[in-house]
Amino acid sequence: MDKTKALVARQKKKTNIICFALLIATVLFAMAGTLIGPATLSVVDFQSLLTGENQLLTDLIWKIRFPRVILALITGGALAVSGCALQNLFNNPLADTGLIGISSGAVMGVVTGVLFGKAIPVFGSILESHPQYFLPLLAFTGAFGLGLLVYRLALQGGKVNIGIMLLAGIAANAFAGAYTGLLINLANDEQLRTITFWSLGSLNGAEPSTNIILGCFVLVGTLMLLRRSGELDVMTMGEREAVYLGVDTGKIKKEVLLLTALMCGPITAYVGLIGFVGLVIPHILRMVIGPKMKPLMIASFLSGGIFLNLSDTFAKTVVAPSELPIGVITALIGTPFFTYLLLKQKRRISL
Amino acid sequence: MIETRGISFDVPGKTILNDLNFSLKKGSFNGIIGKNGAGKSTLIQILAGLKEPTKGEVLYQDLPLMKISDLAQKRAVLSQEIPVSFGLSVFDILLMGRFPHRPLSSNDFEFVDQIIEELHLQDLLETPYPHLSGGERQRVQFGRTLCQLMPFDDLSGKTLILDEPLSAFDLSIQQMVLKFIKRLQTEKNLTVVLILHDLNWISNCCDHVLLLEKGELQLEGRPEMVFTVENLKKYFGIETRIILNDKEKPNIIYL
Repeated sequence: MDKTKALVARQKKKTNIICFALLIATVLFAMAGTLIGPATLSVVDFQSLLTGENQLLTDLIWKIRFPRVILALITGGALAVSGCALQNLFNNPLADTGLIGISSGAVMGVVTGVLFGKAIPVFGSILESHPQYFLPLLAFTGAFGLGLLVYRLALQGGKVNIGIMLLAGIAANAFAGAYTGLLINLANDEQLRTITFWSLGSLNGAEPSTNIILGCFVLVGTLMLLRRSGELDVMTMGEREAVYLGVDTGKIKKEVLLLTALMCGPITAYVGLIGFVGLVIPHILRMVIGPKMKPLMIASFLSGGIFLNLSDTFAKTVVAPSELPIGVITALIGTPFFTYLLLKQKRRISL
Repeated sequence: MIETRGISFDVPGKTILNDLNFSLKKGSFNGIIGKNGAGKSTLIQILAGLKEPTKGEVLYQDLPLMKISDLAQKRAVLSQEIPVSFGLSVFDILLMGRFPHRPLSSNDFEFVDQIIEELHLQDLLETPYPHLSGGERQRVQFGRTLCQLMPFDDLSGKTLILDEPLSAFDLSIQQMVLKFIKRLQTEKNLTVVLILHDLNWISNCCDHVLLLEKGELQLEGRPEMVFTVENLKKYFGIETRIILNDKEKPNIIYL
């Protein structure tokens, strides 16, 4: 007797230990990310920073390095958590914001806004004076729109056909790419710089003020998704069983797509396209902490942040004084991984 | 308990169910039989609230079924085969049975404990579901539906719906499962709706049998009324001899 209670307690304990370890790792790597850069700081410099002796150093740390680390943590967390939720929703470890059009939809939204938005009388002037509020909104709209379209296309008799989902994702991404390319030809120099920046992905422009806005989006999205972790667990048995267990599956699907778009749309508006974080992180963590949604999401949030922070530290130092786009690094790690997942479930994907 | 009023179900170009009217009493054991493609599974999915009939309506305890918000607390469904896409443990799956009753309290954990004992699942608890054999999976899913129905003190007003639940089981486990359900029905007044291919199990367990053919209800009544040599020839195309067993239930011998 009391087996159940003991098992639940043990699961909780394991989760707590892993999450605590990840939290410590997050802090350590965040410190490392702040110290390491094209001009590497020593611990002695760090001490002088705390006493405030060196103004240049203080600015470098607090205005450039630290916001960038924070942005990496927010972005990595948002992408990894979205990956978790989407994979349970689609019942497949291949679902990810980059693959189902959420990210490229966000770019579409932003590019459209930057290019045409300013021409619209009232909207244009607000866009110009408060881009930090409007760009996320545009990105969210594009992300949700394209994500929903891919999802609709993938439905076959009420169930998601994974083969069609991947193909629809490719089509959506290709369309978004072509659309962006077309608009680039229409863009002026200044707009062009902004647009190319998005398609490569970089944490270069991190600023405390935008971090706060993005942090709010990600925090709200993550908390709301955590509230749905029970439903997402049940969804792993398929939609039919979820209905039998009292889940309003139609509502959950819309909610999850909406929340992932809410998190990743605005993020993409600022850091551009960073792929594969949502694919790699949840998969590895499932092996460590198990597939139960709540612990998995929390661990993914932290690990996604650590992963992106490490990638960024690498990106800004490896070809210093120049810098690699971070999307290049995540893709270099992510694509072999994606291929591996694809091969592993070859049979299931057959159309 | 459950009443259907003229329910039909159409898919483009085809009628799956046509104008079904019947009622299932509280605490009764109901078997649905018929050849493949007769519409049995569709009917069960409608009774379970998964599909909405194209015409007509289903009443559950005199309320329209589709409008009952806490339906999952009142009826559990065991499907034929349930894949789980990630490696959740047996224990996680069992606990899902309590999902409709969330937030969970220590009572819920005790219910799950009870089911683990009853179905002897102790050794499997931490095994990932995808590693289980077909029979083990189905035993776990059966446990999960029982967890959903708990507590067993009063099951009147609750329904267990089963769609071919036994195909993955060895004969001994088939018997164990059916006896378990039968006991819940006779002692605790649980209502049961069941699809089975094995007509003898149906005859032995059920007190009410519905025979479907091409989406229409052809016969309904007590097993001894439905299972006659003539009916079995007419609706299943099989030669049989019927003998009554010591419980006065017809036993079908295939010739």
